[in-house]
Amino acid sequence: MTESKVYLRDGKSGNLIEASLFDEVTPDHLVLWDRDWVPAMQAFCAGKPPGQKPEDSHWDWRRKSKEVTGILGYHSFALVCPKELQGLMMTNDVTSARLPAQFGKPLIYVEFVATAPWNRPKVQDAPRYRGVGQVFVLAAIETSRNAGFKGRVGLHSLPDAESFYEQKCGFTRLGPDSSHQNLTYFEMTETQADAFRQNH
Amino acid sequence: MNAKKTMTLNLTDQEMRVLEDLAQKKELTKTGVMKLALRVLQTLDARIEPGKKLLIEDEATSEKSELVIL
Amino acid sequence: MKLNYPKEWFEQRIEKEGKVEIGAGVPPAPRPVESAAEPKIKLLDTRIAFGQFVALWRRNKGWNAERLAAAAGIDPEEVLQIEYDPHCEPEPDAVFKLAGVFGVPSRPLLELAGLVVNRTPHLREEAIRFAARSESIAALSDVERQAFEAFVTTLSEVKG
Repeated sequence: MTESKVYLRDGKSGNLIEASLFDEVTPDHLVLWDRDWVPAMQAFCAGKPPGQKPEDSHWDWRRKSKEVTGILGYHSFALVCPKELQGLMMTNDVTSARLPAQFGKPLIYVEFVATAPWNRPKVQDAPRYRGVGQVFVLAAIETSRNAGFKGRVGLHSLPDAESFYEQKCGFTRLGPDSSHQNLTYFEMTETQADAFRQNH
Repeated sequence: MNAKKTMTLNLTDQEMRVLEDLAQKKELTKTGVMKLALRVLQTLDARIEPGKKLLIEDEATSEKSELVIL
Repeated sequence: MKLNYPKEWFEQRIEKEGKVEIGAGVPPAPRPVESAAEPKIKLLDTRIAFGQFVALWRRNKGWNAERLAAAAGIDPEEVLQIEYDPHCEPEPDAVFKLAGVFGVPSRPLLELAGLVVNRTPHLREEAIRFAARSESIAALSDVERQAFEAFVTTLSEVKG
């Protein structure tokens, strides 16, 4: 497991805060998930009809993480700051690109990425930390480059996050995907990944 | 951590041609193709169990064809 | 995978990100809608029995839904949905956890909830009989208690 130093912005003070990105979700991270994330999500969902709950409110990280233990094609990431879990991501590297320009070439497919409930504008008006999305997009790109996939990344965005991937990160929108609950599929090419890395 | 081991792979001419074609098509090194093949096989093998099938669906016609049982 | 990016990189990027949602990934499959009329009726009546069983179990203990939810480690709302809404398919995980709290095998509860194929002989009949004899009122009557205890025995005899 490798730990990388990254930064988030504290929503209250506006300061940049050092955070740790781990390229493996460990049992310690799952303890944090159970301790903070799950109760915060349950508190937000209590009494709300299904349509108003976050789409990932039923995501069971513990089960998912168990399912892919030992499977080479799956990677999981945990973002911790200062001693709280701020975000989680799971990717696989056995998926191929769909964009005509890179069709059939392997990419890093983001199976799941989420920021902790207290960092979501929808849950909390003043999010505790900002910048979680950037860290994970960067991690997906670098994982792709490490695997020899040149920064190619694909994902199905939840409806509220589409503008983040398209406008803020530079992904190409490929449209709704009927085989994935009609979520919109986005893909990043080598050139787009380089632009993101160079902060263009 | 992550110490690497080396092995020699003996391939027939035809197998080597396929490997080279795939490496070109996937924009990977030959080692990269072999590693990807290992990951794909392991992922599928972990998912396929008695009573489950691997299907390929044609989006245009919705036609499904069954792929090999691993 | 090691990230080696300077602080400034994050600073600039975070400004671009702004205050946004970033979630991606296909959520757990939506609860399936039963299509054929006949299985729906069968599913519903056992699910009513399942809800009834959960309600009576906790009332027998003098617990409210919140306490049962806490003991099982599930959402209180899920307990209420199970008890009151037979159209709602419970999460398998929740049923497992409840079976653990009740001390009965999970298999017959999963069958009642319509999450696995019904293969326990007479379970459906027993469940309907149980559901018909019990009602959701404040305290457990003797008749309800008898029906409840008989059903617990039936469930406990199923090989998990």
